[in-house]
Amino acid sequence: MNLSDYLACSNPSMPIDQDFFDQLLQRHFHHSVNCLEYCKVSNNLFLASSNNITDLPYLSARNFKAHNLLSVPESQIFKVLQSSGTSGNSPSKIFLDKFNARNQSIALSKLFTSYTGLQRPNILIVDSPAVSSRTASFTARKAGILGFSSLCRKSYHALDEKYNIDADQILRSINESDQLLVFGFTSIIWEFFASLSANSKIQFKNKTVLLHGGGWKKLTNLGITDEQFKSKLFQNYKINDVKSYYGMVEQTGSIFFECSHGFYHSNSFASIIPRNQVTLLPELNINVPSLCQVLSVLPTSYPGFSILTDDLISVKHFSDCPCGLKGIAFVVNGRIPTAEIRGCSDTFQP
Amino acid sequence: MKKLSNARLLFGHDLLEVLTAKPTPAFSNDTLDFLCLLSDAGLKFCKSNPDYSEYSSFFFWIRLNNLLNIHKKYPSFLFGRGLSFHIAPANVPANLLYTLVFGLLAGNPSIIRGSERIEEQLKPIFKLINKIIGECTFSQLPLFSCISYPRDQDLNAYLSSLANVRLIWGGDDTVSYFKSLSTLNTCVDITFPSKTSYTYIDKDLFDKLDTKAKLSCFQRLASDIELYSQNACSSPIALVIKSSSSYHSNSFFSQLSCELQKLAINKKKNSVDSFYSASDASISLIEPPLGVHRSPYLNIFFYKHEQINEIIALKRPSNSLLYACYVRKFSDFNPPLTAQTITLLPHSAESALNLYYEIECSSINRIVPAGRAIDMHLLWDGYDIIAMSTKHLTFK
Repeated sequence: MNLSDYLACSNPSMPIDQDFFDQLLQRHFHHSVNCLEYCKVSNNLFLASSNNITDLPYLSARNFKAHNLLSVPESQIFKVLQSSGTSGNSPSKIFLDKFNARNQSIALSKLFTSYTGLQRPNILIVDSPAVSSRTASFTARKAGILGFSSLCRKSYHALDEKYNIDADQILRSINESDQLLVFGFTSIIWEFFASLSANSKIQFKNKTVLLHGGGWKKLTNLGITDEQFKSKLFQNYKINDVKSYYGMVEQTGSIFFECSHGFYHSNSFASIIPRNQVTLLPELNINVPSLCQVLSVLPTSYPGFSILTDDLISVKHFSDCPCGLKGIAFVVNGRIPTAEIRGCSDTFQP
Repeated sequence: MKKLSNARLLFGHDLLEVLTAKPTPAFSNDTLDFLCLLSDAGLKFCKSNPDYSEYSSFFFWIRLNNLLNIHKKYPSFLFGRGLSFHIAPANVPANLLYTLVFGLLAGNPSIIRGSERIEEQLKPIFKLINKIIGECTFSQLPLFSCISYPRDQDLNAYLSSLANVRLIWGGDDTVSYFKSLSTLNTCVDITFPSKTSYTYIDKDLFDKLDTKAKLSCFQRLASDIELYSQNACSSPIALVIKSSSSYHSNSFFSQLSCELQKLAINKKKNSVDSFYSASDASISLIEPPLGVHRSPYLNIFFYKHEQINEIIALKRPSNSLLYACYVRKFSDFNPPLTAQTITLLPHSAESALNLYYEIECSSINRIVPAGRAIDMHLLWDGYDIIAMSTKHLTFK
């Protein structure tokens, strides 16, 4: 089955199966033939054959910072995504051709509908229009905003160009929407609602979903837990459907949504392999902080279908999450201690 | 003073006081007392904080008995030359401590420029030092300040212009830059440009060792490789294996890997850095290796001995990545003029001397047994640091 057919017929919430592995094997062969750098790493550091999903070669997330990695001719690249690249660190560069970008949109759309239940809602972007302007560089933050905006009808920005709260836009978004997606990066969302609390006029309607991502680090430093975060949003603004997602610019489109029990779930486009921090062997036990290898069927124009990240995760359920959703359920513990600090939430400089 | 406004004290005495302080006799009693207290406190600290275990060799080195033994090798009337300005390297935090001790033993008031990155790692040790100088009075301990500052060419130039001795660590670019600054005509520069180090293995002799001796060699070599993630210039980055046999067993590398695994588990070290280094080298190197030994704790890329220098120049290995080549005789491989330390397996004083003459590389200044590659010493890079940082007084 080719990738387009796979995307068309997949139910995002179905468990990982042989078709998923076959897709990943196809990506492996494609990148081995079309990306010399991937081929070198694969030949030097991995077994010649992959009989199992855990045998598949991977690159380090840091390889995308040090090298320009492409699996299509450079002339076919039409967009280069960049990670946030916090001070002193080089950003990752992700090279997209039109086929790859289109597949990202298809996958994101399917995942979004499946996990939020929203159909073409309006979107209130808790950020400044400056971040996603044409002239702004194509960062993970911009990619996230544009990616989710493309799934929605009408966009509103909760902050103005100077990062001040735009109450008029917020009220319009509420009044003009039957379904509303409130979207932003975790720490920005928190700062936004913390500053908003003085304005009691703003109350969101029933069919509002708040979706946030980009890391919990800043809130951990402030001592704010997920429960406090959700409780405040419900008590003050009547938003009871708050979801976060885990994703990265290296695998845009295939993201992991949070379930009702607070765990991220693998899906038919993307999965994870927890790996022992020392041995790098697959970690078979639950609740053990492990290195996160991310797998995605989507990357075709760059060799990013299998990446060893610097993130630590703990698997909570390998298949039987009480929320009822299939796939591996996991939480993100943070980054390995020596890893450079990065992430969208670390880039906010009003 | 405006020129000093960028400098932030990490530990030690007030910077202005250090700038005007007088040198003391080398190996003064007060210096030895201070270092003895620091040694005791440091060893206790490392014992209760396993994350800092790698610094225990430094605290052990500055114990009183060792320093008294070292002192015996120097003449009696040595005196500090004056202000000593140290540019500490960022890649090996412990070097900041060693360079401080070199300055103090020589009797020189010392200013050490450290980095913020080092501060994060060494903060508890800085506290120990501050505590000792806060609680005790040492009249003949040279004053010292460890400072950090952002890029500041004026401050570099100012401190260089006052220095009687400069110890410049940190690689070729740093050395070139500081040597371009004006100094006193009498200023002595002790420079440590970028170096590379190697392990030479006589496989036929090694195979004749008993199991216990072999195990000891593996443990020590693993320690040389792992301790500073091969960032230290004396850490081996390539193996030169002399063997008469054309059959090469993998058991040598597997056992070395096994010892590195034990170190990784003991230190709870994750293997991401190791994987990244190996994958980055795989991407960067144009020539594919002839063979690879792979594991999460040790990756070895095998090349022809003629290729090794070129490969190292393209990508210096780190984080338990080694390049390796087989030779019929050690002289088949010519180390570059950046070569510094050779670890020899198996080692004897005689075999080390023979190897030195056999390979004819003028820059090599240490041939040591496994486990001693990263031992810091007052004799370093061929310099006698004390002799160069002091003046020999003559009274007639």
